[in-house]
Amino acid sequence: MLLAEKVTYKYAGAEKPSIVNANAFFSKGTINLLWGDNGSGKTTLAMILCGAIPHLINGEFSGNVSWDDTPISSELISHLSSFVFQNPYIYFQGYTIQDEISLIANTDSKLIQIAKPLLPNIPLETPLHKLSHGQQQRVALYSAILQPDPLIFLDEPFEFLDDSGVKQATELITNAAKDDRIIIVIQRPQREISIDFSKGYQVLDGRVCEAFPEKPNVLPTITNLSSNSPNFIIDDVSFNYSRDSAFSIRKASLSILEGESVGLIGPNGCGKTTLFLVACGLLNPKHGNILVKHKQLNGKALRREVKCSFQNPENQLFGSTVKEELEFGLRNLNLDHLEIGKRVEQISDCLPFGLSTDPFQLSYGQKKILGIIATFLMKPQVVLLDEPMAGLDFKSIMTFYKLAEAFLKRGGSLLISSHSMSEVKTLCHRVLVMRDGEIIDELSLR
Amino acid sequence: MKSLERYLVRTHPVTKILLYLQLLSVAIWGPLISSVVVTITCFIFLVFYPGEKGIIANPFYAMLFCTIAVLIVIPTGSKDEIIYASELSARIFNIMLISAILGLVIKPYDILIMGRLLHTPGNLVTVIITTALFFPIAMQNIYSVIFAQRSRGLELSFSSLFRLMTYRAITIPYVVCILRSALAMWISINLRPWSKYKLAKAKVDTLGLILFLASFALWLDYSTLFALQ
Repeated sequence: MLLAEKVTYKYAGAEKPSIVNANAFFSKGTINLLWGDNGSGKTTLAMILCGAIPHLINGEFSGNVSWDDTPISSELISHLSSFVFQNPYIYFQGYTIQDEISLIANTDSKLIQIAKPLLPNIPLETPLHKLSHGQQQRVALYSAILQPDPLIFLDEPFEFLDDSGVKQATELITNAAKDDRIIIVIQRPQREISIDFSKGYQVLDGRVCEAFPEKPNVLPTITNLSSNSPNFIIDDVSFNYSRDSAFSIRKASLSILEGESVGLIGPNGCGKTTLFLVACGLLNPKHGNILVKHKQLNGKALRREVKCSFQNPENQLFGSTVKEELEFGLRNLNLDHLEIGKRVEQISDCLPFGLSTDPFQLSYGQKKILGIIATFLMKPQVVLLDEPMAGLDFKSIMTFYKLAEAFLKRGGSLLISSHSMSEVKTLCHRVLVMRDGEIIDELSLR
Repeated sequence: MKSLERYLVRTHPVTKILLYLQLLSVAIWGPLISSVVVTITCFIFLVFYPGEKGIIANPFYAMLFCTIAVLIVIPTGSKDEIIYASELSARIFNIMLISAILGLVIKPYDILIMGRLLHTPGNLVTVIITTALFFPIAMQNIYSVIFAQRSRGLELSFSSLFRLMTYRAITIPYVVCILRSALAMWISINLRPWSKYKLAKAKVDTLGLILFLASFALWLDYSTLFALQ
């Protein structure tokens, strides 16, 4: 069993403790849930429970954490737990899928047996950094659970998985718990998952209490404000990363009307992110055209009209305040100071944090909503959102909905990539289905 | 070639690393004829290496560059000096080829196991392996940061080279990402019980050992042998 008693922890240099007087108890053979809003301290608590805090990360720590009545020591931690982070890539210690899995299976037959359902169409020699976020998450989950560690921590394990991936992962986690192990899933409450959790702990501003989340709040539906005029057209676009490689995008065509929100769904690694990079002018298509307001655009002109908010918000923050972050995009549009000030002032009511907040102190979900707000603030013709709901709590989701609706009302077009049909249903008026780099189907939702 | 590659990847880490160190030493200090044999073998290996067709291009161009550079440096152009320059170029090329193969078949955890078996201080091995594993992450991060900032309107043109904001907008998120990833990787490495699983599976590889011992023959100077006959 894993026991935490009166645990308090403050990161070095932080003003207040991240975890305050926390108590928790986990029995063997159970699946447990740690839940809470963005920035509440879920991941910090998990780090304490696995022993990474205080043995690997400095700070002010008090209290006791023990495994089978033995205090967790620096010698014990490497044999006790596996920790799959929100960003799965960090977990890997091999270079290819084969390397990673060979840590747990050394024979060819076992390797194939394990890897077959994992990524059915991907060669095992593929370098891990070339996989999509969802594919990386699958590999990380498998290699963590298949190791015989008695304690497994999974930080937002379903966030980037498609439906089949969620099903496989759920099965894997449920089976792992039967081996007398403790599985701790760290999850935001908004995400619905079909696992029968034995225990739930809510983390709220560093305080921990035993509770399960209530049924996720029902998301509102975005009103259809579309006109009959096409705003954004991708016409027969193909793209490959190098001359010799296969096409990642094959003859993709789509058209989005003014005021319309379109979803793009497909399994992990089908080319959604690559299509976004091409559509916003960051990669040049090998064939085909991109039109905004009937005008064929590419390069800088296309980047000015089409803005993209990416999966990982941490790649773009550099300012010392939230205000500076918001102003950056506007300055690049060469707007005058008055206009910049006006726009930032207008958006400040929507922000779940102050304009003077240090963006590096924000949680993953808060950074994500900041990135989305900064994108809408530039008022482009088209906004592309790559997995916008991943990591967002309900409050942030509502902010996002408000912004998206105002943007559509203004006549803008939204293209939203997701692997979750339930999220897309409320956000979009139409859904395009992508597979192996091709748009293969279209579903109307309204 | 596929099975050879698979064998090399899976062979015992110690044999593998020692074999390559041996080939590297032969390439630098061994007899010219052995160095040429190693070069040709490595070249063929790289040409047919599955999935890495492009890899041959870099050492090949590097060899051309080295040859030209060495030939230019030699002013007189006498026969002996040309032979010497060609030998030097061949050896440099050889080192590049062997390093390329090293990168393909020696995996970071091989270094870790080797380090553990040779009782190298744990921290030193962790530093080496973290650096090796971190390289693709660092490369991936720079692309992601540039894409994100360009999407926010940052243009990377000649004039932007003189603007401080360009460097700030790219360097800060990049450094933060790198530090964040490094910390998480440090935790991840410490939480994963390498020694327990991988060391138990690392068995002595007889064929690899024979290959390693046979590679000592490359130190024999066959030209002297032929001269004696």
